[in-house]
Amino acid sequence: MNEQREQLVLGRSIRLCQEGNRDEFKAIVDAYSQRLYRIAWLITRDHGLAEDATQESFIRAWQQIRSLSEPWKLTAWLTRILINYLKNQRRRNTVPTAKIEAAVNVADPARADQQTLAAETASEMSLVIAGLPADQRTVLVLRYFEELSLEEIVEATGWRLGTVKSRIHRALRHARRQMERLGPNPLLQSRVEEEATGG
Amino acid sequence: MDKSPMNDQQIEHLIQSSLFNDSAQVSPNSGTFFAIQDRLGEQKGPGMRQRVADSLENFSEAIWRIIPVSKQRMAQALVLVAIAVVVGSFVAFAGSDDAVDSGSAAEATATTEPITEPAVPEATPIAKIIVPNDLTPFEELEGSMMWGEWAGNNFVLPENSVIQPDFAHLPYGSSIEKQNFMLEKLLKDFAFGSSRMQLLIYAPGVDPLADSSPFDIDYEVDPGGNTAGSWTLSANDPEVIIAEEIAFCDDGRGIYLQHSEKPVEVGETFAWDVEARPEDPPGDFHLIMTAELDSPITHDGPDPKRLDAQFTITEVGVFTTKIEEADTTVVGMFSIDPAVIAMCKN
Repeated sequence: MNEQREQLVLGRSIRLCQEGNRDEFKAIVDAYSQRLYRIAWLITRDHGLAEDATQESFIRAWQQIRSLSEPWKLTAWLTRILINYLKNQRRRNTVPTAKIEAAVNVADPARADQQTLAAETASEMSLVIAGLPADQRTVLVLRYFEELSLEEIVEATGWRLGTVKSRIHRALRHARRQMERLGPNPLLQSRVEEEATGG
Repeated sequence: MDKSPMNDQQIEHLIQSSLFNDSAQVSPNSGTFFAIQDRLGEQKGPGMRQRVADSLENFSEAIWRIIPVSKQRMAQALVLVAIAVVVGSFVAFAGSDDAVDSGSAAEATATTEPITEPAVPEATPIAKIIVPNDLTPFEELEGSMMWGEWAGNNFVLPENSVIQPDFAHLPYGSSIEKQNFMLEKLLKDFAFGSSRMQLLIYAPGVDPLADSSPFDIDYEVDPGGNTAGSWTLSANDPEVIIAEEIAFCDDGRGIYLQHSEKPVEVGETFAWDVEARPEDPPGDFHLIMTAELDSPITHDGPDPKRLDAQFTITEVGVFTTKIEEADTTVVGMFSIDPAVIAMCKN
């Protein structure tokens, strides 16, 4: 019931936007900006680029809001605009392959000694993800951060299903290999042992 | 201690944790969304733009026609492909002294292990595949190689292969000798009838295992589906400096090998379909170029994003390429004669 109500509210909001109501659209910007920004940052690993991408996506969304015929698909629609923008920027070579240093900044090496093993492992994975090609990072973010289905990723990226699958497959394989290269991690080891013993 | 302890589920979990962890640590500058709102204020709103778009939608044909030099560009690209096929392809038939000489030279550079010549029925003219120099520029490129081949309906590796399954590849960092050996062995072992192979040469420093494939291989969509002799490749990665399609076909008189270099500009994307259709006579194949919707490559034919070039072997070493959409037929020749190759290059 709540979901139905939310859809009605969203539908009304989108309709107002389509009639040119900027204030209504600003409310959408407020509601979705953090989310889009985080997706953009996870893909680009660059604050400036992520901010630009977020801004441009909202501008484009505003320009094209009338083409949104199914208001309940707003989230997927905004994501698609963002992904398309990032793809186009990559084609123009303005989005560099994420450098590992970018992820290191997040991990804050100065505090490495104080990190827990869990944070350390996540930090290692962060480095690995940052080193992935942008296309692979994109599918990982959509799949595991946005938790989109394969079909939704297809819709968001415009890539074919086979392409999405193979990119996820490659990304996972690469991530595993890189983590293995980094050597055994006691936390992972204990998790593996827990799973092996059904714990 | 086991150094490969993680299964897919664990990796997925770790990736998810890492993404959420990272995302929690970032947030946009507070000014960002003021800037968005400022810019929104500058926009003309959806009305005008949408009206323009609506109008244009009714004239989609006209839109295609104002794309400058579209047909010419597409045709040029395809002719380049055809030329690349010509200059890059070699067929040397038994009895050709030149072929034997060139072959010996190629072999001398390739391998430290004995290679068994494939058994060929006497009734069939013996084709000796020469590994052209173009296929082995690894010394200069310091690149890596990735390959696979079709057998029946499967994308598989040869038996007793030392390389890994999955997306077939030689281990990264394999020696040049190993790469050359494997390439020549493949060429010889699989030259007789059924195999196609793709060879990608990457820019120095690119790890084909770590980096995404330059090709989108779609196993599910016809004609890119998982059918022998037909697949879809999108050369969309500027890191690939050469993408060669290699196909062996036996037209009853001999075997030809064709390969071509990647003819795309960085940032342009199109797919290649290399098809051999059941109704095609032996030796014929289609090179179909399909530009992506957002690619600048186009033409003003019935399907502005697709060109079908039918290659026909008209006689030994000679082919024609018919491009209906461009109303063009290109005549080419497979040759090992350096003078002919030089002529084609010019």
